[in-house]
Amino acid sequence: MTRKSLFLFIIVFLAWCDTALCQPVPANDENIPFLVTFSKEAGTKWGDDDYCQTFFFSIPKDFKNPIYLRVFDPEIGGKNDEMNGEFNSSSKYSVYGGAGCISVEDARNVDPIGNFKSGNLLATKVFDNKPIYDNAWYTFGPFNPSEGEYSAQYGGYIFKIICEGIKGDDGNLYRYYMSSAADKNISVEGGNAFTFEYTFRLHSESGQVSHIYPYIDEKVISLILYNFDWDNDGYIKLVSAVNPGELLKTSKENKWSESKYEIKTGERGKSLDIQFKKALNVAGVNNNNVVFYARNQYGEQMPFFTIPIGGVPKPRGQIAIKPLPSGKR
Amino acid sequence: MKATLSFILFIVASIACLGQSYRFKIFTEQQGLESRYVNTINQDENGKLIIGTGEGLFTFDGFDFKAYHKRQGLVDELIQSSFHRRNGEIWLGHGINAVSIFHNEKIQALDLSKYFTGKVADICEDANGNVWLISQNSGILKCSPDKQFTHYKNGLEDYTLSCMYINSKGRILLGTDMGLIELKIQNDQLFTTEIPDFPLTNVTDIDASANYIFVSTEDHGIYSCYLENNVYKCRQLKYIHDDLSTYYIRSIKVNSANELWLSTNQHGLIELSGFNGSLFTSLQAYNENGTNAAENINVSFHDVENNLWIGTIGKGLYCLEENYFAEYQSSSFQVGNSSLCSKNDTLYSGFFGKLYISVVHPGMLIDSLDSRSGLPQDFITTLHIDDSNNLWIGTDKNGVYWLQKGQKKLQHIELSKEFSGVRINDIESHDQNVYVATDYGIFFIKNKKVEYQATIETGLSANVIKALYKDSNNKVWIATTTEDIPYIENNVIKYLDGIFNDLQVSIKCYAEDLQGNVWAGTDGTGVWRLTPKAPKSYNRNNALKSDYCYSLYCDTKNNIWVGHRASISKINLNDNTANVYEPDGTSNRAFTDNALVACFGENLIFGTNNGILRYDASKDIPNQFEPILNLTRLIISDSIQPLNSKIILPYGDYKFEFYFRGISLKDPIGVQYQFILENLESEWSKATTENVARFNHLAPGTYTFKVKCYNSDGIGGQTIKSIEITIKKPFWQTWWFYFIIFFLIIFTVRVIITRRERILRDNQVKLQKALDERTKEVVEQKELLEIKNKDITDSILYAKNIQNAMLPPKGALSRHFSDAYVYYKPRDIVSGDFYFVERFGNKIILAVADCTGHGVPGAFMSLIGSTLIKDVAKMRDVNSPLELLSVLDHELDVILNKKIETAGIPDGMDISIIDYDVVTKELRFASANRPMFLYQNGKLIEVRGNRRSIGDVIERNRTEFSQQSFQLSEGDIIYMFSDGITDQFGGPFAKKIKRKGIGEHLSMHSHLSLIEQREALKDFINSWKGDLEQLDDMIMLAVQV
Repeated sequence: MTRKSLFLFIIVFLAWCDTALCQPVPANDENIPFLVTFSKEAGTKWGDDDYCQTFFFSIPKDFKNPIYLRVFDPEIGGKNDEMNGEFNSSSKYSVYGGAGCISVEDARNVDPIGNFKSGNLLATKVFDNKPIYDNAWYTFGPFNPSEGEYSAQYGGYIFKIICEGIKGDDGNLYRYYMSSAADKNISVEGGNAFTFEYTFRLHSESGQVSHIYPYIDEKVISLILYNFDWDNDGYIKLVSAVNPGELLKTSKENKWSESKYEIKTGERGKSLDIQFKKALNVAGVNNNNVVFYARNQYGEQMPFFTIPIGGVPKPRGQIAIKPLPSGKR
Repeated sequence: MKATLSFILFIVASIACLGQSYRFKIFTEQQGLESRYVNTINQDENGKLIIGTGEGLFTFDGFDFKAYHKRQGLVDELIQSSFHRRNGEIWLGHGINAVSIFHNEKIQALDLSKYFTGKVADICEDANGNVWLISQNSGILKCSPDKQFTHYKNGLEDYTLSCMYINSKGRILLGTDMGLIELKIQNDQLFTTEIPDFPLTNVTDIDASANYIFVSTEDHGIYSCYLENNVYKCRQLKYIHDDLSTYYIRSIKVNSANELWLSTNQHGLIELSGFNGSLFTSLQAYNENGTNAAENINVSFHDVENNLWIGTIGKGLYCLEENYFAEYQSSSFQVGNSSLCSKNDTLYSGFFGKLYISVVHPGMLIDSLDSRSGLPQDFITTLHIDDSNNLWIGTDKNGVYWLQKGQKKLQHIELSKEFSGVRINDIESHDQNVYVATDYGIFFIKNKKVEYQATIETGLSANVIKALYKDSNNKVWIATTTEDIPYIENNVIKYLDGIFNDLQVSIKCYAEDLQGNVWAGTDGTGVWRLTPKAPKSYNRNNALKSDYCYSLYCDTKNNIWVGHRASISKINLNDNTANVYEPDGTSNRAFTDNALVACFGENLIFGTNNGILRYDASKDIPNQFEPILNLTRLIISDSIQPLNSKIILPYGDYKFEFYFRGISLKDPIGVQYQFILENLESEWSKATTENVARFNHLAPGTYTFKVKCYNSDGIGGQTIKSIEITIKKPFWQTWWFYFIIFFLIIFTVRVIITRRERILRDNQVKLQKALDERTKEVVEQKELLEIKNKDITDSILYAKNIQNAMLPPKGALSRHFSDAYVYYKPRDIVSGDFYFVERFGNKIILAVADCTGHGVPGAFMSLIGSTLIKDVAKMRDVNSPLELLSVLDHELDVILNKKIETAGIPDGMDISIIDYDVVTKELRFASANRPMFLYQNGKLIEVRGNRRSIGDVIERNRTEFSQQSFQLSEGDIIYMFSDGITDQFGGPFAKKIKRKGIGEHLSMHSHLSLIEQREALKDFINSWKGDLEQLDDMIMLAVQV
């Protein structure tokens, strides 16, 4: 290994450590490169139906240390982000907590309408294309965990961060991290993150599989799963502990598609695995962004936890048990 | 440009190389503060800090935290904002749409859900006493003093509100997520105006001094707002060339000197001072890099004693400790022992292989020297600036270096090859001469050449020279390890005698006071004034913390400062008082020998083995604030009582415990108290730090407990808190009890009287009834008696007739005598007296008898007597009165059947008997106990008979009756009478008449005829008797011969 190669290896390793050992959004298991939010002057055909993305973070009730919400590459410009002509966009991040943060119904809606900015605004910042934030972390906080809204249903004190594309037509690609340190990513023990509508960037490499994990509670009987602007970029498959795989309908450019799925015994109280597999036979669509959400039979949005509740579902049928040869017993 | 760059480099260097660190007291769960998220800080009128946190409200009195949660009335645990109103109320805005009002340790809830949906972002009060509540996303709410609400929302829908400011004229500035706007309310309508040139950023806080309004932002630093032509304008404020936009400022506080305190995220607390209207010239950061403070600060607060309190995010509450000592340490390397010198307010500080030059304060470096300048990798032991402003540097093992003024390259001064590695202890200079004190004598240098080496061999008293000091007379004093005190004068070593005498002393340092006296600090024997005739010393017995002195300095106020191993002593030579300073952290460090200089005005700079310690005399001022005194608890006989100003207790034996607290947050432990219980004590107690006073067994009465307190600098005593305790007298000592007792007595007496009266009345009724019955009975008996009496009387009257019939007829006497009368007056109807007249031949027998008793018994006896005498007188053998008398006596015994055994019973009669011979006129007289008067010859003679009665059994055997004879002549009068006349009481003295009185009466009236005499006798007796009762039957028989 040359010195240059060693240096690159160290850089890559450190970058991996920065995410792999921490609590990122998207999570490692999700294998999603970036969240994406386009500015409101871009058309929806870019893969973002509402120019807004809301994520929730949960902190266990007994966690008392300050927490920080960190955003990687929050600005729109430089690396990672998707330029439409030239970078002329601004994104606004707002952190909410307090009463109504999640308990208000609009906050859980997939569309940014009504009082979706409910709760107390704890911090907000607008980013344009300042290089200082390019490919770097920006930290919101510290926050007192009790500044969040307590919800036993969602796992403790809840904070909400909303990213809005308020100006321009470029795509903002970013990641979140809920940390217990301001300047580095140290996971909040027991913390989690979830959203009711995922808008994310797919890998450009063919064969990559991204995952999101809707949680199926005890009252769910059936689901309708929606995807937007899939662009024929492979297939979307639903996998659960009792279902080795069921393909979902995929959407066309700037279109919605929906699939109904009946919940089976053994799937409640756990998470489903929605797999987004990049097509293998073609080079694939570069910079493909997709929107995904699910509703139950009551029309309620289902949360996607970045750390899937009940663990990443593994179909039981895939575990093969062979008897050992008699001589090896 | 170059100068600017240099300056920036200096600033960067100052932060990186010699940062100042302060000490903080930190309050977290361990100290009782349950939350590490401090969002608001206030101080109430009682002096307590009121701390709003993410987990409730806490009060702090310097000792204890007291928590208020929902169960104590707090609306919500999360407190986001607060405001201390002029009326003392502290309004606490919550993360939900509600406010808690805290006042006098009580909480009142204010529900705003009718108006707000989110948190209460800010609270402020206008000049009219209206409280303005700012909701982050629901407009603003005006709460009038009488709690009437007016909600303003229209026009603010697009803003997220964060803070508000109202000036004295009611003009409102509102901080939003899109900059600062001015709010005008006309006819209850809102009008918003954007402040020109203010960025579209999130405004985090607004605070104002008398002249300026300061606005903090999230990412655009701070702005000041001002009115120009009645329009708000703003300008961004900077620190030197920094626009402060890198600081995420959460809140801002300004004091009257326009010093700003910025609470930031990740940069700690920033103090900006030296404001000139647009620029701050001084910045002090309190953060983890240099000051041991926290990095994320929510809020800062200065209490009434000017203590700085810092509310952090996640690290609790901080309080900046005494800041007249400040430490400066390098963050990049271990500084080791530091040596110092100063000139022209420039400080030179030497460490291991490093020398810093600083101005303003030790951390503000303007230059530094290291190996690139020729400085060896060695400890710098001493520094000296000569009169030409050249810098001399002494090292531990590398000798002396010299830096010419204005140069950057050091020059090594060769002392001698033999002593090239000797330790340099001190350097001093005078004119062109430089003296270098070493462990082997003193080197005299001139023109950078050694001219002379003074050692023991040359006559110096010791080789190890610890210090050199030039006084105002240009004498250079030499500190040796012996008791000798050498000094250099005109390049000649001389000795001062008469100071220590035979005392073993090792001098370590010198200083000169304002009077020109030189003082020596010694190694183990304190500080000495080197005045031969009157040396004076201070040691640990009278002033110093320690007898081991390593550095000495006299400041401009004539204070001698002494550096010890881990402490500092200060002796005020003006009043001989002393203070000891033990800055926290010095216990692990030692003060470097002779590293004590004055610099930067009033500052003293101490070199230590762990950096530099700065003492700022301007900040070392007594705490002028009297502790805020409160009576905190009253326990009476183990029962907590409410703290009323007057407490009245029933009579009893009580145990009193008065608890009080003087709150001085600067030094809570140093607060002292004096108290008195008036009416029990006459003088205040001695000052004590104990905050409780106990009293037992108080007698009934009214007592006033008073307490006052002083802070640790002795300031206070003006405020007196008091509570009046009254122990009532026992009920039996009260006026009402006396009244009741009096009333009861009266009532009882009245009851008794009434009862007795009733009983008496009842008895009277009964008696009356009985009396009536008895009266009736008596009347009946009376009537019966009257009837019987009438019958008896009639019988007696009839008996009288019989008795009268038995008496001689009225003419019987007249027939036998020339004149006669009978005065016969029975006491009752019938009489026991009788008389007898009978003529037998020539003899006339007369007898007058008085039978025993009177009335009916006497009458019976008279009947017996008259009958007997008649019978006896007729007996033939009875021929004389004597015989008559004797027979009569005998016959009466027979009749009455008297026996000797019944002797003493006076049944009988007295009788006088005469017989008168009408012929011979002879009179014979015999008498049984009755005399007789005989008037004869003009004289009245008393003729006494025998003193024996008829029927007297006892006398019968003793006395015989006798008989007397008299020859009468005509005209003689015989008076015979019963004792009823002589025994009658009366007269002027109620005495008996006696025979003498009768005799005199008869004599006096003897010249009267017997008829007249009878009337006279009758009158006499009636007159004598008067109203008295007649005691006995009376009879007087008088006959005249």
